[in-house]
Amino acid sequence: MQIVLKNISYNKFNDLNLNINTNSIIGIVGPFGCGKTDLSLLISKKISPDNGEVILDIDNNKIGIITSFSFNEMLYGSVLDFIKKYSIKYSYKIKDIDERVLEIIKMVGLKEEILSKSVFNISKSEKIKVLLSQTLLFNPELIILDNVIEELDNRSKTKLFKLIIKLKKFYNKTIIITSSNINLIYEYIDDLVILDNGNIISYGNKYDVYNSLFKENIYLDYPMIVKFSNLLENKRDISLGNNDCINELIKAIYREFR
Amino acid sequence: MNLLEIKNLTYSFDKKRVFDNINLKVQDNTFISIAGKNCCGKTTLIKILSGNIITNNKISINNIMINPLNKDLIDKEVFVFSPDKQCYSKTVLDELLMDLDNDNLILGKIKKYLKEFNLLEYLNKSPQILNYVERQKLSLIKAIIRKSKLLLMDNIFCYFDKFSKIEFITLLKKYQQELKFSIVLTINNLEDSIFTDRLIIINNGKILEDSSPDQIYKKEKTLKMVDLKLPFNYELFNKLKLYNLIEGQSVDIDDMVNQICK
Repeated sequence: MQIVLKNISYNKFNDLNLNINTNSIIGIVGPFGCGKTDLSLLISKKISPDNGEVILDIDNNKIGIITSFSFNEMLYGSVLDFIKKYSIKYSYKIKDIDERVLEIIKMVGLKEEILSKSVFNISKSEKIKVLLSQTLLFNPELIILDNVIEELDNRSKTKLFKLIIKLKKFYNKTIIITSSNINLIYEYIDDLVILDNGNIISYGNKYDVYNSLFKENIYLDYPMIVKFSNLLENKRDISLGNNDCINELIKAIYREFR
Repeated sequence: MNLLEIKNLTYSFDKKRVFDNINLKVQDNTFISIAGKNCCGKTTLIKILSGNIITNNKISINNIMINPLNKDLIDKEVFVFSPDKQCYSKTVLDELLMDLDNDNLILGKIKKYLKEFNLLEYLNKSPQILNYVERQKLSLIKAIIRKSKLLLMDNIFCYFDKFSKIEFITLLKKYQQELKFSIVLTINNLEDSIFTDRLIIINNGKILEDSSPDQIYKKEKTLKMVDLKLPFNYELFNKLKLYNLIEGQSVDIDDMVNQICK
């Protein structure tokens, strides 16, 4: 699979080029209004660019995207019907579909009782998990989560990322996650696109991206862990390596200072 | 005087007990954050306080009981920040004029606010084109113009980027000092409680903790039980202490770097 954006012009984007590594977890971050949602919609072909081209060699029904607009569809009907909606629409013959639904809702952390409830009457975090189940049921190759993890509590978020990592590792999926808050996703992503007002500030492996931007003194919302290790490294001229979470960072500091 | 008083709030939904005998008093000029797991009732509480869910409980705001008969009075006291688009006026100016009596002097005042909030360019444009953060800023101007006493914010900061959040909180605190309103903010990330005066943790329909954020950050066991993660600085500080890597009491990043290098 390849995801290539060529000379895209749309809204804030002007002649944007991007070649995204597939089979990885990609974060798209940047301040509010920088174009994250537009970029997600362009990649998923939900909108067409004014100029340029999006090259994506998979069928449209192999793209699963959840955005804030997805909640507008959750007005009536049971949770079970809602989860099965797209799979029926795309006329997938899913063997034992109800069993598969049960399997999936357990994976995302929902209880069986929810299936008979109305999609309108469940909480926001439950809605997110229901949307995820709906997406996973039709087994997409590319999954895009646009501003959806913010409302999840810590346990649900950790659980979701474990699932995402599994989907990448064992099922070769590509997952794109956008957020205004890099600290929420830094630990779990591989690659990173940093956007600002329609421009790509940087794209690449998350460690390379931030370390080089920090060295160049670029004013940016750095992940707190990156900021802290860079400050400490500069002060003592040491290397703490790349750390994803506080526990790893503490080990690295311990090695250097004890 | 108490601005908000909740007496023995008990509420069930869908055969599930959401609140079990909750008592809460909030004074004016207070910034409260409310945390808890998903589905613990945070949004329900906001809906009850704004009169959108009707209960038989005794809840008063500025000594006015919340019930359908007092809806107009309550609407004067309470301002609800909504994540959804809910402006139907033609322009931002019209949207703000709605809350004012026709007064020619007022245009200057509106422009002053819009300028301070970095929204002046939208004066004659439709509120529909505002993004999420800008809509929240417009709401704050409306709350200020209305002189609302209680501002309800249902997890609005979770979508903010860092710099917008700093800008918003600075404006919010500036006008709080002037107008002495109180804020009830629900959160699912303790990072958003750092800048509040009082943190309440709800679990299984009851108030589990109610104290200053700093005090609650020390209760690691409780936080673990409700699965809330400490703000980055505090977690790092605790672990550096645990391994004797720092002395001192400051959770400031630069201070901690200096301490480690000492």
